[in-house]
Amino acid sequence: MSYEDTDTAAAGSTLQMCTFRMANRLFGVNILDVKEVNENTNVTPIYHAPPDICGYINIRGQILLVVNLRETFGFDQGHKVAGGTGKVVVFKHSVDEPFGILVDEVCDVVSVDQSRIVDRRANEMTSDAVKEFRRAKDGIVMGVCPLERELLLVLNARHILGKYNSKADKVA
Amino acid sequence: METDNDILAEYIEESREHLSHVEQIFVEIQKTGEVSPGSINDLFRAIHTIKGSAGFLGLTGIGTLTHTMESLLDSLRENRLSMTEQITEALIEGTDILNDMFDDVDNSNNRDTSELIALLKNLNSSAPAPAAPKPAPAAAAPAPAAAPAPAAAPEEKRSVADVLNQFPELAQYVTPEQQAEAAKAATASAPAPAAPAPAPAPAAAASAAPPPTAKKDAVQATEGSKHEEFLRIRVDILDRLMMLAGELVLVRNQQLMHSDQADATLRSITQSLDSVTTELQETIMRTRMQPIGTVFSRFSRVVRELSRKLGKNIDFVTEGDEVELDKNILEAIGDPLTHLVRNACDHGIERPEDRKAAGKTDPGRVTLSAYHESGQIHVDIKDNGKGMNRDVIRRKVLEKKLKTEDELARMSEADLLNLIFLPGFSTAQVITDVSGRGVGMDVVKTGVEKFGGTVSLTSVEGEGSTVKLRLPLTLAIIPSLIVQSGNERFAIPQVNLEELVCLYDKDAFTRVECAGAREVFRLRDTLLPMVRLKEALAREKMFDEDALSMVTEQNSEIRKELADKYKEAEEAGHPIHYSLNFAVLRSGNLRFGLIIDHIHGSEEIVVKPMHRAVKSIALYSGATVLGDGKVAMILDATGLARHYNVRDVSGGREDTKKQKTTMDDGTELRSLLLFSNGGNEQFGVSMQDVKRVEAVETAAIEKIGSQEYITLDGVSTRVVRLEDGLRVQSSSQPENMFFLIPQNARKPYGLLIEKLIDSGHYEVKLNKDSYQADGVEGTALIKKKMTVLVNLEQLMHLVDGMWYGGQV
Repeated sequence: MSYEDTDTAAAGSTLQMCTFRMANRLFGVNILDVKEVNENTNVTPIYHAPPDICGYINIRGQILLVVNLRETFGFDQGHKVAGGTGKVVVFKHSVDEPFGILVDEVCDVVSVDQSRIVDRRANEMTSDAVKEFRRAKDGIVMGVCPLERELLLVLNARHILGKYNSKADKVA
Repeated sequence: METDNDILAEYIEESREHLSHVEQIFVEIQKTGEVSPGSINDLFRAIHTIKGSAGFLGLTGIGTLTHTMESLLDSLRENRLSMTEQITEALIEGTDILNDMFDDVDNSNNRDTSELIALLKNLNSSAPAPAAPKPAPAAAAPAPAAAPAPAAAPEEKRSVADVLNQFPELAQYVTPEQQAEAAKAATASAPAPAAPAPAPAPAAAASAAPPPTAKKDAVQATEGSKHEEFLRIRVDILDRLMMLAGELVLVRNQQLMHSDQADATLRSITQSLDSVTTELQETIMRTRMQPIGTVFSRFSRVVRELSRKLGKNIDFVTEGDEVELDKNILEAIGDPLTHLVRNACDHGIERPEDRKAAGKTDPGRVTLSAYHESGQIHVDIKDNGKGMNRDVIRRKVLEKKLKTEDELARMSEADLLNLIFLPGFSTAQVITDVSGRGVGMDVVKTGVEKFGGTVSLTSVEGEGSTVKLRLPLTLAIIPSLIVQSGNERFAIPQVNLEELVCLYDKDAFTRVECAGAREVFRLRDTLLPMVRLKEALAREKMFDEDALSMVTEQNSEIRKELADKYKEAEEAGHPIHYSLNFAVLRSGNLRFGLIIDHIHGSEEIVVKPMHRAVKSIALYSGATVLGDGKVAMILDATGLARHYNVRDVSGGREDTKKQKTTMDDGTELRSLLLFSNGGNEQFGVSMQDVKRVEAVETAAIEKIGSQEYITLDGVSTRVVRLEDGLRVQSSSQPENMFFLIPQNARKPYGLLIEKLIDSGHYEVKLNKDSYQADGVEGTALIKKKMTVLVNLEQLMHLVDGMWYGGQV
């Protein structure tokens, strides 16, 4: 059903990752989940919303929620975005529902071999970086992939809004 | 009962549609008194279809009833019987029972319908049986229907011989059916003859199944071509289509912006893209619209039942069945309308003897009418019953302690009537005593207001009452005010908005006062609790007394500073200008002032629901995309009031201090808008007749022939000047004037005035003699000045009676 089950099993195949930076760390999401990347998007803050919700953006008439992953991961709020503009990676319908995440910088598209993504749950002896992300709840971090110069944290976009799904009014 | 739930659910839904169609036909028949063969065929087909699956699903109760109804309809269809009042009544009753049965399908088999079935059979038995003495003409009818020659018109009669000559193979069908019909007729009229039973019984069973199918095919073939085709579509697919069309519009806009206007080919392509997109969007919008007649039609049944139960004669008339409304709204107005219609029948229309005594026509009349007006749908529920007695309302209000005597004394007639919308006014004892209405009128009001509609009431004692509902065309688009607090803009739905107040200079920091922990403003003798949007947004926790007093204290500090600065600057000769804006919002019976930084103006916004992750925030009712593409949150007045812990601070305390106004000398407290039209004549209009006032530039007025128009919100609006209808001084035509748009107008028009003087409640002692003219109510001394009270409606009639269209 979700690609982590099917794809990680099919070792040897390559994944195209859309990568971006947040708090100096490199993250990647499956490019097939990404609809578009928007720079200088106006984010309307939603006062009283949970801290990891940045606000709403308008993508061609559709109002989408923007999530602040810095908050989710407990990073230092380098520049707090209360409204204003930012770079937003927008996910497709295939990720349950379209939404966006606020990032510091959008980087290249990277091809990685499936087998090189280390599932953080599988190996206790992983680097400090992974331990740090263990705090990230709800399985948002799928695993870590060592690139030539640094580590790429592979995220599963489907789980980012997951905690809101489990709460109350789940769409029937 | 073991049935596949999906199939059953689908069957129920389909059957309901058939039944509502059947009801519509009966309404038509009762209205016109004419029965066309087509409508009988429609009835037959609908009932037959319901019967068909009922047997299959084991719903024997429904099956038996529909079968009996079908037999009767069959006789009608084949002209063996002609429609009588009695038959119509019986069939309608059958339809009603079927409706009930579908409400509770599981128990439908237990329902006792034997009485009705006997009646139906009895009615049918009066038809000449097909096998009776004159077999030829009687049998002629079923034959063409069964014949696979659909081209023959159903009414066209052929003799059996003709048909049999043409289709010899039919001979075998004719006989058993005749036998079956004869057998049925026989058993119905006299259950005694048991002797011939064995033979026809199986034939009857056999004929019940196959021949109707053949008939049905034939009927469908002849009728099918003139029927509109429908397709069931899932609502979410429609929603998605709507959204895509919205996206397409935006893409088109971008393309329009970037296309090279010099290139002729490209320009024409752009133009067609433009028009196609617009049309596409409009068409998709229309998919959600349904005629209000679907809701109206069910009330004929309600009224019929009620009149029978109450022993009254009531005519039920609907107008404007074709007016279309958004599906969601249609579903939502069902209950309030039922309430109002029941009220009209129960309390409005008098008993026959009372009507006669009052010299009224006996069948009372309840009218439901729908029409478009200024971008809204109006639904009027009108009765010509006894109307409402003001004194009884007054007495009841006092009894219930809903208002004090002083308050009542100062109320206008219209305000008094509207008291019946007060919650608490409607308890069982009250209704029957009060000259009429009152059953849950507050429920009706809140129900209608929930989706942005309004309710108003007029009643003339002895002549009847009219309840007017004003409904938005669609739930998705609402007019709203765009305001700003900090860097963000917010939308406030117009329904919650009462008025806007701007305070300037000194007023900005002196008029808002502290009352305990709260900030209040004295708005025309009532204390208005104030809410600061900025503070409400900044605090995530609900405001308690501590938080409130902290905020109040801080702001009173700020006010003091401002006052000092202002004074300093003034003394130094460089006055600073301050302003404070607030919007007066209403949520239920609570009013409060919302302090905001800027007011941007009104905009029609498309409401998008909140994402579930943020849905629990009470402050917002949704979000919308503004004209410039930025998202704005829609403020929820109720949530805001609750978050800020707003309480009704006025509590009538201020009011009771006011000296009592005597009604005896004809003085009345009225809410008026005062204005002047050049010169120093002062005019007034009733606030309740005014929808809104716009500031306009005189340069924007266009002249066509002798008439003047101005475009407001894309609508050409007729400009009426005071001097057109009244002999008063002409306006000096300054650059900026005001345009007063009346409340109840079928056509867009407005009154051009020069200067607004004031608005408020004034004690008016109307003098009708000093200045008499059409379009004028009279004069009164207001603010120590003679004021001409203009009757907007009359004035418009006067200026252009035909064009204005005569609002009731």
